[in-house]
Amino acid sequence: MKTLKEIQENYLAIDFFMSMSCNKSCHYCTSYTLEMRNLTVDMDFLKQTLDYLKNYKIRVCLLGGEPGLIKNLDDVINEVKKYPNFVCSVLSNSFIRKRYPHVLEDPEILYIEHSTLDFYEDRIEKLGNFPWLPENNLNNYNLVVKTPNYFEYKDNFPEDMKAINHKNTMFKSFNGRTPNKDDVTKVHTQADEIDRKMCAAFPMVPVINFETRKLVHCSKKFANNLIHSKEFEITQDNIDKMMNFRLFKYENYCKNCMEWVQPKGHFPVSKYASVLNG
Amino acid sequence: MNEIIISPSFETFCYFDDNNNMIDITNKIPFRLLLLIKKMRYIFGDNVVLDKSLITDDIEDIYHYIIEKAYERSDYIFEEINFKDKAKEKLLSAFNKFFFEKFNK
Repeated sequence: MKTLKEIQENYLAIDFFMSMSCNKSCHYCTSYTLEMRNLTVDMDFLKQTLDYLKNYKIRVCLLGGEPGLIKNLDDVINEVKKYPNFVCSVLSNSFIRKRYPHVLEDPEILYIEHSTLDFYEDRIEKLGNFPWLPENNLNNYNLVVKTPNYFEYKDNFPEDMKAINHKNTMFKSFNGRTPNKDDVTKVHTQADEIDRKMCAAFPMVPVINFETRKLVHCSKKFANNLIHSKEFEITQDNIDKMMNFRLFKYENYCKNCMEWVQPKGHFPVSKYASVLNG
Repeated sequence: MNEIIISPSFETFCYFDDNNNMIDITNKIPFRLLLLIKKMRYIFGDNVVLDKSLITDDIEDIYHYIIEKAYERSDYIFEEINFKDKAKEKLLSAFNKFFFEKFNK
């Protein structure tokens, strides 16, 4: 079993947006529709895409939309797991626990659960009825977005916060994409230009869009955003260029981007060394 | 000047003028650039070279970004990093481009 640290340090992540469909409508999500569509993954397209990527160490992030809605998710996971260079990751709003609970029992699958919609001063709004994931050795993690009231809730309910105060919780900065929440500048400032440039060269997660069958530069500028990021044909040549930092450029939408990048750098330099050394 | 000679201790920087006189320019190099040069030892070891002829145009942006980030942040590249020869070559080119652009400003 690969540890989260090992995966984060050595693998580049690519989001596989298998379907835009979701049973929830998180205000800060970039890529969902409540319309149920494209719920069966085209295995030929998947196999072709994985084949293009096979020479690279990739964290294949299966999501959408909500991956638990995908009818042939087990087939998709089994296909990804055939490749020794890939780590299979599933990001769910907890619906996976209902339909595919065995995913949580497989430590080879990095399961990340985004089950908290919002923090308020006096309560939490969750996305399902499941409690936060407890500390475990099965590669299952809570992903908690620090929405604007997170800090007040944390101070007001320290006992409740103990449930996620362990190694299996990842915190993520609020991105402020939502139009009806506090402005993102109240939460964090814009990342330095050099950090946005490094992010542009290989974003935290580029996307394979299964609906349009395109390779998308940035997962943050997607369907539910005013500005969409650049798209490319999925070919061996474009995949090779992407993985060698030759496909993506610093675009106009990167100049205004307000996504948070940690000041120490988009990726640690050791990760660049790992990727550039091939 | 196209080439700057770095002393083994990384404390003195010189160039040769047209008459082959060694001219000390240590005091002319901005402090942050001096820090960057010293930091480059974590990548290149004792093979840090300042030579304009190493600058090429055909390297990916990411190499320039790594050098710029190292210049901007003291906590970026602070220990030995193992880049392979090809990547090292590109980084050395990016480093020289960055250095001479800043130095000649």
